[in-house]
Amino acid sequence: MAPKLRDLIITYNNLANPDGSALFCQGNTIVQAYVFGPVDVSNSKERSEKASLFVTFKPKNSYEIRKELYENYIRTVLETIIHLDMHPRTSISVILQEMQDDGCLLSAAVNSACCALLDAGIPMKCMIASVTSCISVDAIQLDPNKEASQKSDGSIVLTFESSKNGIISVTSEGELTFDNIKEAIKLGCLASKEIYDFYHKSMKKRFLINS
Amino acid sequence: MQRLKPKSIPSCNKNFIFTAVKDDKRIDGRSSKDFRKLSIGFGLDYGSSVVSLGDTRVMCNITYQIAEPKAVKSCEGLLNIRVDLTASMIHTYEKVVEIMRMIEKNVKDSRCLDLESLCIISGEKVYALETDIIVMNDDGNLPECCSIALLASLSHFKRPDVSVVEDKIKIHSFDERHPIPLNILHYPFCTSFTFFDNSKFVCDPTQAEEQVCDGYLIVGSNIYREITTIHISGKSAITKDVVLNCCQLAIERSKFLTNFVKLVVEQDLKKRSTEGAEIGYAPLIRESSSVLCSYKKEEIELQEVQENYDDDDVIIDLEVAQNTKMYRYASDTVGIGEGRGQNWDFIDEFQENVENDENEDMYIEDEETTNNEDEPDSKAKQFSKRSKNSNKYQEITVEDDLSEEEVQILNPPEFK
Amino acid sequence: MTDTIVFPGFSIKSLIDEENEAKDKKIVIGPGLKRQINDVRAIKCGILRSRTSNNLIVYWIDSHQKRYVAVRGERVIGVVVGKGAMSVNVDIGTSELASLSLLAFESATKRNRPNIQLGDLVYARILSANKDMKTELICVTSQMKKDGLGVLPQGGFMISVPLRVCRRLLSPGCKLIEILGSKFKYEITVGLNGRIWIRSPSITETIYIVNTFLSVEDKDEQGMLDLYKQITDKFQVIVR
Repeated sequence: MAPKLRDLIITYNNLANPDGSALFCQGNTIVQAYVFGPVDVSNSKERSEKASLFVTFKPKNSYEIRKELYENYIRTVLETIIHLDMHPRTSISVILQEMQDDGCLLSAAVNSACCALLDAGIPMKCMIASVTSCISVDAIQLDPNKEASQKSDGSIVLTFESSKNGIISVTSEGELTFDNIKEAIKLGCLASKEIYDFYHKSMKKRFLINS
Repeated sequence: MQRLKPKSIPSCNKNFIFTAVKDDKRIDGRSSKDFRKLSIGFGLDYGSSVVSLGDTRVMCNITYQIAEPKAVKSCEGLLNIRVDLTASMIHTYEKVVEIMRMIEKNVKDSRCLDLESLCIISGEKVYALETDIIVMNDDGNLPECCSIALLASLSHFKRPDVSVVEDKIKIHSFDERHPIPLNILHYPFCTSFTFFDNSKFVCDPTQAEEQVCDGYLIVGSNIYREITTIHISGKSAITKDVVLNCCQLAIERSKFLTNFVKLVVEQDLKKRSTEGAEIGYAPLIRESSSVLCSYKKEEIELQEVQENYDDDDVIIDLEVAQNTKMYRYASDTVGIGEGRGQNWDFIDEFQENVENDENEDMYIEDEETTNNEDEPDSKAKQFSKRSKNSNKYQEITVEDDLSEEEVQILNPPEFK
Repeated sequence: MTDTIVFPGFSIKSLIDEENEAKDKKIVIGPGLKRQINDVRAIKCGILRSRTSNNLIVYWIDSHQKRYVAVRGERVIGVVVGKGAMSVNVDIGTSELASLSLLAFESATKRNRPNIQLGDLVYARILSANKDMKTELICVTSQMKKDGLGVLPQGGFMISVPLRVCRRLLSPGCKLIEILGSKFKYEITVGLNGRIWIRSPSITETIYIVNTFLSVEDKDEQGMLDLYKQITDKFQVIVR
């Protein structure tokens, strides 16, 4: 079964102040990412051998409380792939703003963070692509929208990295069986290749315009 | 959350902005009363809008909750406004509070929203509107951009219809019954002005201008010529004429903004009612419209064909240059027209004056000043001295015999 | 080989080996590339470029970036933000302030210090840039000559542009500075940290020139040629 992701659109550098910014759109889920870095950091937060990474996830309506979980997830993923030791005693801040939510918000956030880091020129070891699958009655659906994910029994978010095509991070919700997870990983692998292709195409467009 | 230091501004930029404002010019080519390009886009949900005024971009989201009303006003709904400046990373907490209070005073205290219509059961349940104004990029003029975003979202927002059966409230989904828009009585928009040197002001400042300004004024007004808020801050001392002038400009700007916001909201609502139309931010991104994508600056028109340099530079007519004798005083000082003629008409008058003048000591110093080609007075004095005594003046370059017609002194000296 | 867009994690060892089969030249790894044990990988996203000289091949990645990271030997424009007894603190756009010794000017001695005020602009050269230490600047060349470095004159306006724009302006193929110079009289200093300082006798001209440089950011080859044509056709210099 060929994976079918929704339409992907990326716009780079759409904000003037941040060092890097990317607006990532997956169907109707839109996340805006900004990156500031490497910049100065206060003494209490500075680390002498690597850069300090700060991630903030801002939901659309500030009274919702799911921030911390997403922030932790994204920060652990990014800490693995950024060359933090190249900029000690500085800080790199990544801010993710949810603009529209139609399912797969965490995946969209991770993908947009990766694009914003590419745009800011922060040294990275590899690229990442994140995919969500939801399971309902033994049928697995890739990249569900909000309605589908609300009706499903469980969902799993997988983040792949481009150098060895390994999995960096996994998080799941709800009931899943072992077979479901295997299936999800297979689908996710194929889908992540599509996402890398998409990054390539959008960057090519950007550089060839400005070469 | 990390806070960045604000960008350091070199003093040459500050001086340039001040000098340019005196001539009604600004660094991006606008005049002091021009505003930047405004564009508004709406998202999928009702009440979600993004406004961009030049490079400044602000997003506003409105949702509702059912809550208990305040004890004092038991039949009015609630409106909670929150402003989020974390993305700009350089603002202090005070600035956040200032902007939040501005917006609150402007919208809540002016009662532009009919809160009584948000009441469900008096004293028990009312709609509480939660507003989040999120600043995505700060390039100056935040109060205006935030107020536009808030009012655009409020005009766009629709709440679900509600029916009360005995003590139970039934909230109908958007499919069951049409959602109801809010009742907005008037649109109070903020306009900000920054002052340079006590009397010069500019509208819609950019961040560079805001950081170097002397003071600023924020005026909230609507199309009924009512001023909803006024806020002056900074160190400039402005007169009441300036304040009244600014209020006048703010009222005109409100008229334009009210019509613009109403038009944009109407267009979006029409799009939603047509089948298969694309709504939300995704089509805006695809079209690279300036609301969500980078703002393309407009080309500056330099109208005056390049004219020159009248004041500072000396323009030498080639023909004249070839026939004019030039005197070289030093390696980098050249004089044109070193007056030398001993046979001038009015030298005799000079001499008469000099002889009549009892105090001759005045002229003794002039003999030493040989480099002042632009002081005809001293030269004239020199001649008088020289003609009296022998020719002590040393020429650095030897020129041909000077004919009197070529050499002219421009301003005959005046003697008291 | 040139004009391939590479992404972080992309191994270029195969490309290097292809190019370097017969020749036994020394290979220099430039910015954007990192050498791992047996492999050379890209760590930034951009266009892979190379340049061959006598017995060296240099590889580097040309990327879009706005924030400057100090590199030894580059000439940058800085803003003086702090003054000490023997040195000043200068903001060059990196994460930390850089220090500039007051003796690092032409003919400066302990008694004869240069006249620097807070808020002045200096055009300096990076003496040492290390990720673990504070960056140091100097305003003289190795022969202790000024050579254009030092405090910039009063007046003018400084703008911030992405780093690519500065490199483009300074490249030999770009004629924008000359073409503007044929129509306008102006002074310009380009710092590799993304800052350009421009001074012109009249305010309208300064504004026009500043905005021309700000618009270079989103122009491609064809856009630049159009820009040259536009400037050449539009203005006339009157010589009386």
